[in-house]
Amino acid sequence: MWTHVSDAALMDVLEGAAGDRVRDHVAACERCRTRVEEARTALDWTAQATVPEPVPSYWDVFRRRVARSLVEEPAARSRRPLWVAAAVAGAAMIAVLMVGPTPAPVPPPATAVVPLPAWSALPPADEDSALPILRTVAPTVAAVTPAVECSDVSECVVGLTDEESGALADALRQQLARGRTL
Amino acid sequence: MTSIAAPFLILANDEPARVSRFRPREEDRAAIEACQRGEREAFDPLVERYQRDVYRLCYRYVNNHHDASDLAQDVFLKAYRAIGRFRGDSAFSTWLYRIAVNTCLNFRAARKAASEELKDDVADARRRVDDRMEDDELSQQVREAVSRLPEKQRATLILKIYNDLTHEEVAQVLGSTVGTVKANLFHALGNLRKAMADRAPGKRPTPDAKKTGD
Repeated sequence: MWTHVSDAALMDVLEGAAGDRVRDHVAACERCRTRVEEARTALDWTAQATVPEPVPSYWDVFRRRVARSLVEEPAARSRRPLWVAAAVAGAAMIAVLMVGPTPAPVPPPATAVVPLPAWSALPPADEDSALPILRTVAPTVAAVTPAVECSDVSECVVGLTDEESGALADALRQQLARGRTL
Repeated sequence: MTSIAAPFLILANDEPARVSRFRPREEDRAAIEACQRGEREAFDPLVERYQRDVYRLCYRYVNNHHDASDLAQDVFLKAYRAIGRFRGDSAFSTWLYRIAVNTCLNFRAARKAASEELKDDVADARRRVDDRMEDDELSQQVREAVSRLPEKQRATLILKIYNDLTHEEVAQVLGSTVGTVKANLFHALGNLRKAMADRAPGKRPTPDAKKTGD
């Protein structure tokens, strides 16, 4: 039975990377040969489609624009500051001590956690100094963040938006206030 | 949902290539690590090294200098904000291109939502500005045909042909496989050929036109 080769294989032919079997097929098959030739013509055209080049001085201006915009940004860091994790962990520990194990119902955060982009990553677990602290308070934090979906609490805390961090802090404050009135 | 407010939305649905043999270049690595230590000025050499590639990539999406310039700046700003999470699993350029492609896709999605009247006015004004730049008709025709390709095909063609990425690198950027990248590229070339052939015969470019300078 006569079967044509895949488009990926035809791309290999166009790039001169195809194996003998595919090349033999294309040599014998007018339809595939035509498709390769049409693609080759289009490839020739793409080479002519240059982007108009800005004047050379533009690039200095561009870099200065980027640099100015970065001034308003907080300095980039490879990992979150330890004090943030410590503060969250401390607040959670206080809540545990003051309130006990029964969590009060808490409204879910206003927005769902946005999944981390696929290209991003947390520091490796063995390099993350905050992870042991967060694991210690994991049950408590999990109890007050029921709407958050993540595999462990450290991931939840790290993934919180500013709004969600605020909601968590409010929930902890409520727990603390309740504990004082008991 | 407003696409522009949700960067990395469109491509984030795909699983990225996990295995990479493309590590950051040594000169990039030092700058990246300095940025991750909080040295803001260390980002400047990265901008200088990649600004042309990022600008050209953006230009191929929007076909005008003004938007390409704004988008390229936005790409570097997003990259700086996220550089703390860059771990060197891929080349910095690959990572940066992914941000650029997503930024451009979000921009186009947001612009589609704008009123046709406003879009036409802005496009006309920008076209007049662009006309003053050195350009030729064939270049413009091909660029416009490329910009009308389906999104995956367009991204594949731009990254492979104009940004000179390997199939593996394109697969990384687009969260795809090498086989899919090759197939998309072949489809893109086929569609490009068709789009150019569908133009009025008098305006249809031929490869010979380049050789004669027409």
